[in-house]
Amino acid sequence: MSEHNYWTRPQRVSRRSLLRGAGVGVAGLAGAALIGCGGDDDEPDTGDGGTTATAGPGGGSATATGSPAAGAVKTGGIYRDSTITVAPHFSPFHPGADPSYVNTFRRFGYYDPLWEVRQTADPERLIKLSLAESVEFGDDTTVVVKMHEAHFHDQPASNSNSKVNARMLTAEDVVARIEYLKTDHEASSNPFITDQVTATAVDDLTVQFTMPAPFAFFYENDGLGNNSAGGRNYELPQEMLDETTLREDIPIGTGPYMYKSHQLGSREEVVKNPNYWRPDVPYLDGRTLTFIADSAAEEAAFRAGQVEDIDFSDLRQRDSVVGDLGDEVRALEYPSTSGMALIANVRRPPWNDERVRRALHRSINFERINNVVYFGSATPAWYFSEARPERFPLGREPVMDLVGYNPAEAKALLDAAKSAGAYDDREIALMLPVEAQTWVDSGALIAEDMQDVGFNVRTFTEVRNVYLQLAGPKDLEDMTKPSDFDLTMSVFLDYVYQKADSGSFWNNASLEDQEIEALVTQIEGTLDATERAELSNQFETLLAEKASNFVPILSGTLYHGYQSYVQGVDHELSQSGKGGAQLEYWLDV
Amino acid sequence: MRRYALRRLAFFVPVLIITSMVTFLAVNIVPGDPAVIVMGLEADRDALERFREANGLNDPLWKRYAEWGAGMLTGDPGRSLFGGNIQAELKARFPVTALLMAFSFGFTVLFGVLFGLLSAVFQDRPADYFVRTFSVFGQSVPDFYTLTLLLIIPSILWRYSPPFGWVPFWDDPLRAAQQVIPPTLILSIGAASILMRVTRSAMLEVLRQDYIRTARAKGLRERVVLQRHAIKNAVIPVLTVSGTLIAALLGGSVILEQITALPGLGVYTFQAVLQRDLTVVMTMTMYAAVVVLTTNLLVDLLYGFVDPRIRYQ
Repeated sequence: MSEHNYWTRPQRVSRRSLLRGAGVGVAGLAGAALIGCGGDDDEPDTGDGGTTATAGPGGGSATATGSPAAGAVKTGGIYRDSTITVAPHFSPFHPGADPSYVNTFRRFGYYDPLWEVRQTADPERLIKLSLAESVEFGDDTTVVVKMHEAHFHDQPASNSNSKVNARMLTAEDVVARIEYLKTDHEASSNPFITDQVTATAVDDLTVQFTMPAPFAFFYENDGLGNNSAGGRNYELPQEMLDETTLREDIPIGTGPYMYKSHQLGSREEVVKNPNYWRPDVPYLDGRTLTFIADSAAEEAAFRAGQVEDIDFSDLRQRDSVVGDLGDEVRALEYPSTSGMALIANVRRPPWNDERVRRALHRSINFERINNVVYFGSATPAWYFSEARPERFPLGREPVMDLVGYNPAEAKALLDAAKSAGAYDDREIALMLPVEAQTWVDSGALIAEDMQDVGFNVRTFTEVRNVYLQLAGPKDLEDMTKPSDFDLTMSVFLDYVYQKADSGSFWNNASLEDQEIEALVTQIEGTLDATERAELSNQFETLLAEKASNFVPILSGTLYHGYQSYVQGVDHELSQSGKGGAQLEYWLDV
Repeated sequence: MRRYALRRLAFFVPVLIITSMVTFLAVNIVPGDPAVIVMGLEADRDALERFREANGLNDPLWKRYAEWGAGMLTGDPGRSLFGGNIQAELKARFPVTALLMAFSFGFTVLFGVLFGLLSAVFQDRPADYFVRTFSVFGQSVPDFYTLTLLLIIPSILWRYSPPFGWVPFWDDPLRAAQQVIPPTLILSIGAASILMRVTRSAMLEVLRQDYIRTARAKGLRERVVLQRHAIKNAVIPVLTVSGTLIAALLGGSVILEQITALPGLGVYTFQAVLQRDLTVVMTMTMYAAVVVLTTNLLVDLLYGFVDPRIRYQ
């Protein structure tokens, strides 16, 4: 029997082996990692297509300004896109990580909408037919929609999907969807659907929508659902219309692309739907959507040719990339549909005094903010964005004599208000949301402008979660933001919410003025576009005349870049820059 | 040792309960209404109320805590407020973070220990100055800044960037390695800098001991002196710091996953915090606590393995 000492005990060997093994393992790991540093061979996949086809309807029309002339349409290829947020589920009706995730479905086209809305004020082009073959307006409260014959995706069975594979979309599916949105309270946050729309199936392919009273926005603004989570008129098989299935199943719709795969939180792949009801589209074989949240990382991916397009974070990034890559990329710019605004709490002095509100309007030097913060690339904002002509935007110019920058008049108005006791010179708190540096910088300049004319202003920065609470109904102490406000939302509809004191974030934006509210009601019930345009302009003028407590500041410019081989994108149709629901674009490689 | 390990494991229970309570209170008392964040700014009051009701946000705190705790005990933490299945998310994301941690910890130990030893052995010589300078750099420059440079500079100079869009490691190891290397290299710089300094000082301390002088005096080769007598005795503090670095690396991976678009647990937690996704924040905090506790336990057990003189009482 041998005697063990410290150096000869059995575990000595195992311990050494382990430590040595760990060392070798780490070295091996490093070696393997270094081998992995090779070049990236990702290139745009042209698929096995690449054949030249006849351009379909709309193909190649209205391409980007300054783009090379679009050549013949090429079919095939995979379009590689990036996103800052990835859907945690595939339901188009339930809230996602961010409202913009809904755009994923729009871009990918899992679900066809019943109809889409043209971004134009031309009354003849307000509604672009999608699944609807025809839309007939009966009396002022009835719409009859006849649908194309479309089939749901022929997907591998998955939970409930096995029951619906490739069957035809019927009017009953549409009716079921409306009823579902009325009953699944988590899915629907749109009171309009709940309260007003009744859908009935006339025959297999015809649906009739009935409303108790005329409502203009039903027709012109995706009437079945205009809220922050996007449109509600995506058509799904009725068998999938329950919360669990919608959230857990793969997406099944009638759209031009079908689900292929996804890596949770990272990547989604779709392929062309071979049975799409429009046989000529899409031109592509498929698309991929990759989660890239960081702006610098997205730039790196774009420069390396890993994605076909990019949303530049600002002018400097665009100039840098375009300067380096030259003709290999195509840069576009277009006005943002959102802008920056201040909201003053009209329920609290001094903002209930019109002179004080007008002094606020008159005190802000838009040009200085534009030059200092936005490098001259922004435009003065008013209620409705120029990018949304169907809202009949009036623009700031016609009301400049009411709300334009005039510090002398602002000071005089404020002095008068102070003399009358409407403003006791108390400190006004201006909150600056920290989510964007431009908001903070703009807010600082606004505070300076206000102080110059006699306001006593204190600025403070705040995070989103907190300011959402501060801006609740009646809670807003003084004023907020500056931050983003969405001009694509109908301010008319916002007024509907405000009138109801519904708890909307925008509640404090209402002047609570009976004359304005009556005009809004009139606009909502006016179906004639020309007449509505006149009323809409009256609405905006009235807000200026009464020095609204909602003070639009500036609307930014969006910068977008494409690889130059991306052809056929119709920017007139979709100023989102990513093609929206378009199908007639291709990769010229 | 087994009894010691069991005793430490039993200690996990009160620690986790306290951690969960503190986290639960913290995420519930900070301002912000998750319903508003999920449903959007324009959601009407009724819709918000329905959402709160459906997700139990109106329930008393104790009830919500109990329900969540029961779910955790059964291995099903439930759903995110945005509807995602947390368990499925964890299953999908864990391999990403695990790979990230394995690489970054590997690089940290490799660079930290190796350069720390070099620095000590070649004290006050150019190699030592270089390592110390690099260590100061590593601890001073933020990870996210270095990583952004690492991504953007090759894309400008060579039109190269790591492939984005995660593919599971075993599906395409080369692609996964390309995705993981930049963040892990960067993540390891800061941690390795700390480890370098600890290794260096521990090694210098040992090298001044009498038994090292004795070893040298009796004619042992320097390599043998270092390997057999010095390194072994310097490794205890290194082991301690390495354990704590796991937690630091786990924290650091949050931002790096976000920048490099790696769908790991870090970015999931980060987004959940921003979005006030209470259940996800709670669940992830608990998992992080378990990882830290387990690491500490493993380190403690390793002490005895590395230095047999240590006994577990």
